[in-house]
Amino acid sequence: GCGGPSAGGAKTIKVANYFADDHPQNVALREKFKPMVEAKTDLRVQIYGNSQLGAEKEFYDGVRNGTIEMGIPGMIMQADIPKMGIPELPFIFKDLDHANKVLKGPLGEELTADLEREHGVKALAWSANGMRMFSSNKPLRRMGDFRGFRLRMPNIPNYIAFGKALGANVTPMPISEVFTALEQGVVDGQDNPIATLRASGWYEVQSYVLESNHMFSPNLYIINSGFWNRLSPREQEVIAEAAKESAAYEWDLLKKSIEEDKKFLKDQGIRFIVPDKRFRAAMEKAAEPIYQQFYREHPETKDLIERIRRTSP
Amino acid sequence: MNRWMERAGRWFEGLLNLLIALSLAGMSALVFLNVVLRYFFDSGITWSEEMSRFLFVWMVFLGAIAALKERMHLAVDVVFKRLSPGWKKFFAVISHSLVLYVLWLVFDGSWKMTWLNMASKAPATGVSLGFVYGVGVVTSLAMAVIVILRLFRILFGGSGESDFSLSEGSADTD
Amino acid sequence: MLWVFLVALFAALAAGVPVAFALMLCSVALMVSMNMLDSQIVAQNLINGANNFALMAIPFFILAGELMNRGGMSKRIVQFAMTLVGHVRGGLGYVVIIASVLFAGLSGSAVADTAALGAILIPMMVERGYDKKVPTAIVSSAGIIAPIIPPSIPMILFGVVSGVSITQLFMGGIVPGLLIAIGLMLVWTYMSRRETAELPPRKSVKEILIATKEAGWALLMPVIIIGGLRGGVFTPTEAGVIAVFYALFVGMFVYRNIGPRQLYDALIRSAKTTSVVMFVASAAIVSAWMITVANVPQEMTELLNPLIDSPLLLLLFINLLLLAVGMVMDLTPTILILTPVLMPIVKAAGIDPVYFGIIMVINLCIGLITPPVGTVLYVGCGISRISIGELVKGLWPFMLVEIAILLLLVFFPQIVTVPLEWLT
Ligand code: NA
Ligand code: NA
Repeated sequence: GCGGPSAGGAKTIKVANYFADDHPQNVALREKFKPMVEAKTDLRVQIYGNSQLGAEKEFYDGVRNGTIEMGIPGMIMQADIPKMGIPELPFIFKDLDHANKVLKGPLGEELTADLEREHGVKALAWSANGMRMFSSNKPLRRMGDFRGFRLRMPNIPNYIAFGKALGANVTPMPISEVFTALEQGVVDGQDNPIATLRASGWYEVQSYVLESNHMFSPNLYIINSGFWNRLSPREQEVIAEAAKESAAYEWDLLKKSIEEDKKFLKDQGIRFIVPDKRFRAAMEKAAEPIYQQFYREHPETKDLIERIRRTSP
Repeated sequence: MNRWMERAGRWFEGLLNLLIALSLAGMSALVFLNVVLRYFFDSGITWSEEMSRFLFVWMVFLGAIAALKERMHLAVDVVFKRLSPGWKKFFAVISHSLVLYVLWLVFDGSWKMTWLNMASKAPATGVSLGFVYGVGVVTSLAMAVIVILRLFRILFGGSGESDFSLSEGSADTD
Repeated sequence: MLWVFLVALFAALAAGVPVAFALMLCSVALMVSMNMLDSQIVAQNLINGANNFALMAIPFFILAGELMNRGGMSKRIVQFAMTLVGHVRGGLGYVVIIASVLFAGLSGSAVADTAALGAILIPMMVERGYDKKVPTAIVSSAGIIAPIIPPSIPMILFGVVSGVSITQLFMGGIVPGLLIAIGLMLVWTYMSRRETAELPPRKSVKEILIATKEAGWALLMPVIIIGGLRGGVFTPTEAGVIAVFYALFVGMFVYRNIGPRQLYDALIRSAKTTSVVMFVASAAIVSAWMITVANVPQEMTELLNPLIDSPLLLLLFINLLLLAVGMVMDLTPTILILTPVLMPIVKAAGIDPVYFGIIMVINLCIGLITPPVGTVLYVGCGISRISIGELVKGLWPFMLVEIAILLLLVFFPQIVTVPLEWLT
């Protein structure tokens, strides 16, 4: 049986991402992007979730060098293109709607403006991973609770700087090791959108969620530039439109799923803590030096950051 | 000529040994230090995980060069060792050529990946990721030299059958 | 696509291409047949295959084992086992099995275990008048307990490839490992029932205490690893590094057998052994990537679909397949090649992935002593200078009891899963 992706000689678009199959990102790809592209063109779409084609850095490089046609990474490229770190700065967006409004508009295009020139990938649409919250094995109710708190964070300088600014003992660790580390008590907690907390099963070994909403985690639909340029204008048009619609659909699904995830996690015994005004203000204050540092290292971004912060939610 | 090559080979082996020993010692020290810091001082080195991983990658591939030189790589020799000397020579030429082709792919691919990642910096250490992919360039070149020299000996040298197999699969890994 | 992959793999292996290169070649075959040949797929996956923190546990456990051996721990473990059971009928046979279990708590490789204990115990038993093939058979069949009781290199590989918790795999191996030891002892009791050799006297309590104290440093090691993992003190990778520094400390300052020169040699040897495993593991990441893109696991799932409603039948079938493969292939490459292919169907059938990993490792460990290809078999023959045929003559009762225990675990998964729940 050669029912593989190359059957019939039709061009196949491999879409790589790190989300579980039932995550809104993959649901949207399956229900919107794939049928739209396949109905209106001869192209075929094959979705590879669950990091099947590699972890974020690997499949991002794959889209850069064309071995994978499309991907939905997070802001992994910020190591090279500092501007791409902006949407992940702590408390830059008030909530999901604020993020959606900014990223769908001209500011979103301004953020991705250098991507094609620098990395050879074209940005098609912004989608959302969610607002990050802390999960933990002991309650976090005030700033003091972060002291000595062993916090797993992804190995990204802005994240680590923020965790340290809160007073936590930050342990960077690949996502594949988080479950074991939480289970074993090697770390006390982690920060991610609660959809991830649910899908990865970490909630089984955690007891609390602090609704800090301290960072927004965006995702970006990207496509290899060389591949894109070889497509017909008609195909390009269809893909661009399908990506936009799929991303918009994902945003809706995600918003709906948050309440559902919260209910599920509560049923599983997770207790949610809403930070009071003072705690929230203290966390925001702790984030301020991150901005100052960012301005010092990348002065050209200051204007853009301030325009984003001024956008009303 | 032969003596000179033998000396170069020994020098190369000594260098590889030194590098893999230092890498393994370095990664052990980093990971251990981080555990100690976490439990006794409630702190840690954020670049320890990343740095030790890079040392690991270099150790693995430099060690793989040495293992090729010493015919240690795992192989299945049930068929090969039952062949007559003539067939052995025939298959030796084929297997060496196939390995050379794979090494060419590794070289070409690593070369491209190295340049693609030259400007990318690893988040915690700031090391260029070209340094990580560069190991593929070094490994494929060094391995190719070993394989080509052996292929020459099989084709033109008065070599015995012991030179025919790429590996004896003798490492105690299981 | 499944056939493209298999034919390319076996053709390359038969031609004498080392496993790592054969894996890359069959990835190339898949790429060519899908019209997507790109050298970057090979290079990127090969290098990133090694760029993995969890896999660093492998060099750590290998180095720890190397240091303990050079530090004189294997000798003391044998001494300890001798004072316990040396005086009963067939005592040396029990010494081998007990020492293997204790050594399994330090070493993650059956070959290392067999080589270390065989070098000491086989000559001892031959001196007592046993035919060479008898001690070699016991040492080899008990040697495969090493990767079943934690630490375990094959379990680390399985965990990384399948995404299953390595800690859980480790904990789940303890009870099956002990069961195999008991099975081997029963066989030995039967085999040595007519032995009439003169036996050394039972050791006094004082002598037992001295031997325990001497071996204490070695006996403490598995306690540290298992206790540390269970208590959440560290991850498996960190457990490996703790083992390294512990072994180094004991070897340098307690037993005083390790100096800078020995340390340097141990580092080089461990690094090379690791490279051999990891080079195959990295190449397997290349083929796993291509297997995924070519939808090979789906093909496999469709092929085995008739069995999906009966997990027991599926497991039996997979075990038969693994026993057959284990006859001609070794443990490391088989785990790396078959795990990504089998995992989707195992999950689809609702079989617990941790349980499956343990079964797979035990099955392929038995493959290490089945002819014609078995690294442990070769090591045993190498030490005793006997032929494989001769060794197998002594070995088959032990091998059969190990297969029987494997079947027992297939029919009664609770033997694995219930203690696992308690241990984690
Ligand atoms: Na073990
Ligand atoms: Na075998």
